[in-house]
Amino acid sequence: MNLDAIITTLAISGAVLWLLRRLWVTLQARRKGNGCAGGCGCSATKIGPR
Amino acid sequence: MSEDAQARVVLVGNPNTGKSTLFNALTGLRQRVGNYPGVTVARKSGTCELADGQKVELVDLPGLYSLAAVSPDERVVVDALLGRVKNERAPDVVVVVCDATNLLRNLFLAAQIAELGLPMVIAVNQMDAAKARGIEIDGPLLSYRLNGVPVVLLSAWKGEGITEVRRAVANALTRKSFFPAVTWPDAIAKAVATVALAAERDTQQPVPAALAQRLLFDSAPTIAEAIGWTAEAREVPIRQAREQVRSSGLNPPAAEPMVHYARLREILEGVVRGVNRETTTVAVDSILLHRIFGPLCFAVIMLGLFWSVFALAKLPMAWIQNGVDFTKAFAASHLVSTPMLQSLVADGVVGGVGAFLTFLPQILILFLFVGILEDSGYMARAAFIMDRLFSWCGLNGKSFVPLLSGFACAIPGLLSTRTIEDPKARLATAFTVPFMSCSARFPIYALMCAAFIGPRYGAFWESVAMVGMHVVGLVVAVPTAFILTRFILKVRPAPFVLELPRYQMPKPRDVIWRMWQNAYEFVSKAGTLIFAITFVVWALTYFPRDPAVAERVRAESPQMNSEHLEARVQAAYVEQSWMGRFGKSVQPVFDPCGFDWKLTVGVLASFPAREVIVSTLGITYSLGKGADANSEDLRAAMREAKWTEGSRVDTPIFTLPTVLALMIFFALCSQCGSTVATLAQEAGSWGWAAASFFYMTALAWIFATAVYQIGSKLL
Repeated sequence: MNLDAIITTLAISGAVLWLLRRLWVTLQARRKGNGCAGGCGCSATKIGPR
Repeated sequence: MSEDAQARVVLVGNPNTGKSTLFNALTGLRQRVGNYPGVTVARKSGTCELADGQKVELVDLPGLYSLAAVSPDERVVVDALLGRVKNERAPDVVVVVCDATNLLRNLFLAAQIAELGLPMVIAVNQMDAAKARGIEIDGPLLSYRLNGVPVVLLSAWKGEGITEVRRAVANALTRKSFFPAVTWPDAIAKAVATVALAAERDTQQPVPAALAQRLLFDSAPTIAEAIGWTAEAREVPIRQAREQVRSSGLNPPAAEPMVHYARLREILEGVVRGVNRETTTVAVDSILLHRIFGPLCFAVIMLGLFWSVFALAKLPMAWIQNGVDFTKAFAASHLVSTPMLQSLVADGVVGGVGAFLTFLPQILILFLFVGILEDSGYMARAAFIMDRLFSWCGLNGKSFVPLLSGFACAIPGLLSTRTIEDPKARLATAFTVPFMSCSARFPIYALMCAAFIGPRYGAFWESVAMVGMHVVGLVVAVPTAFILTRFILKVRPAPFVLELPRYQMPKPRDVIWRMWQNAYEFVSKAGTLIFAITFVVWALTYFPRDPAVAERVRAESPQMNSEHLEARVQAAYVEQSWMGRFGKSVQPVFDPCGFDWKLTVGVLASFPAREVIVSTLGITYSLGKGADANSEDLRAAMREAKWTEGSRVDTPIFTLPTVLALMIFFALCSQCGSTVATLAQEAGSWGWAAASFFYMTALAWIFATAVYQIGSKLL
């Protein structure tokens, strides 16, 4: 595997992992009744007191 | 000094008393915005330097009229005052912000807070408006009548009296002054004691008189739930206590305001002088709230708003587009040795995120104008005008606020339906909220208008299209609500009470600060999601990369010049990519709407979050044009796009009917995973969420198909 493929694979894997983590956080937030954790930009997106 | 060791001062007051303006004046820009734990109520706090140099934490609590808390906002205020918010102690001083033009009603809240035994400062704001109305207030006399509680007369908007507030809070921290508690009639005092005793017995915790009063007077179970007093346990003791009050000739729900107001009238005797003259607000409202002129003015204001958004954003959009093009060319030229990475960075990340960022100026200007309308007092009038429409279709008067919030984002709109007491009305409103055109739909409207409507028909028709897209959701929501409320849920109409604030000149610093906060929130949340998704969409559109595809294309067109040949090779790669294959297999479903497979891919990729559409189109059209052709922006690429097969081969994909169909599809479709999940949570069932999803998506498809088919026949 050349450097090109390695860097691209790492970048895409990072993005996929980040999206999965975000999905998990959203589900957790929903379960705890904290409201939205989605990327809608609304004021309800924050979890926790600060 | 650590933050925990800092004194905590809270600002409390009725809505529209200028609380936030005072908060901004006291804290400057040293603010933090977060959420209260467990709820989605925003917590605004900042550091305030007092007159003696002491720094305190200042918290701006949501506005409320009474401690009889029903909505989540009101509950937060009560919890904050009682020191029941997690990791937060009770405030050291409460600053009650009052409207000088309506001091009696504003002091009712102060009188209720007095029952909690918290040191207090009374900040009588909007003195400029009071003076304009001929009202005079004797601050020292009021302070004397309130047992020395500091009273500051100020005009936060003009910056007058801010230093005095700093001094008064510093004094209140050292010499704690308490608003004199009311003397309750015997029957009420006994009933409160009865309730307190029963609650203490059942919950095994001390229940102070202030809480027992709320348990006795309030119909909402907020306090009972907060202390863990179950409905079964409290039913009998509270009923008996209310009977005690009733037997003395007092009506329990009315007793509290009666007693407080009687004493407040005595306190204010001679404190408030002069006449409350009618002002320009009344004259302006006679037009803006007129049965016919009101809605007309509303339409003109909205049209002007969107026209300004387009007209003012043109230049900064061009700058950003140039920046994106430059970055793309720079990345492409420096990554020639790594072609895969070159495509990922130039076409995927810069192409995708750049397509979204180009519309940032429009979003910023939109937030700016919405802020101006809010601060000027017009938004409340808009609520009043729209309430006529909503009450006609059977929605609860309180539905307006969730529906208005829905225009920013459906999530807070859905959460704010909790303020509606009637569960059926709440459900009907929640079902209707996703129809409101949220800000995530804005980039696709803006892209279509900027690429196809503006250049051909001008800025006026761009604005008309934009207003139309915001209205189409409403037009569909009204009959949906009508059918739901009249025939399915059978909702009973409820009255809607709304206080109309005075008109005032918006303060530039506040408006710009709020615009910045909203834009930062939008970009940081939606932008990060888009950034991550661009990687995935790029990968799905880039792979598999079989060299045989390029060889086949080159063999088919041996005479073609190298630039065109390369573009054709890239287009062939995209068509046989995973995304291309998927898009082509699903495209027949969207063919009646006039969508090609690339638009189909964009539509499908937008189901988790609709703002993804622009970046997805940015990638699919950018990749399709070849890695070298990166100077063309997305709009130009879409204008050049043509059908490659079928009966429409070589005709433009983006005709006016297609553009309108796509916009209408996005205006009506349920394309937001968070909204569907929140609707399920608020409705208490996935059935309603599924019904909403299929209903909206089917409606979107039907409307888009109708627009495309009829439009194609006519044009």
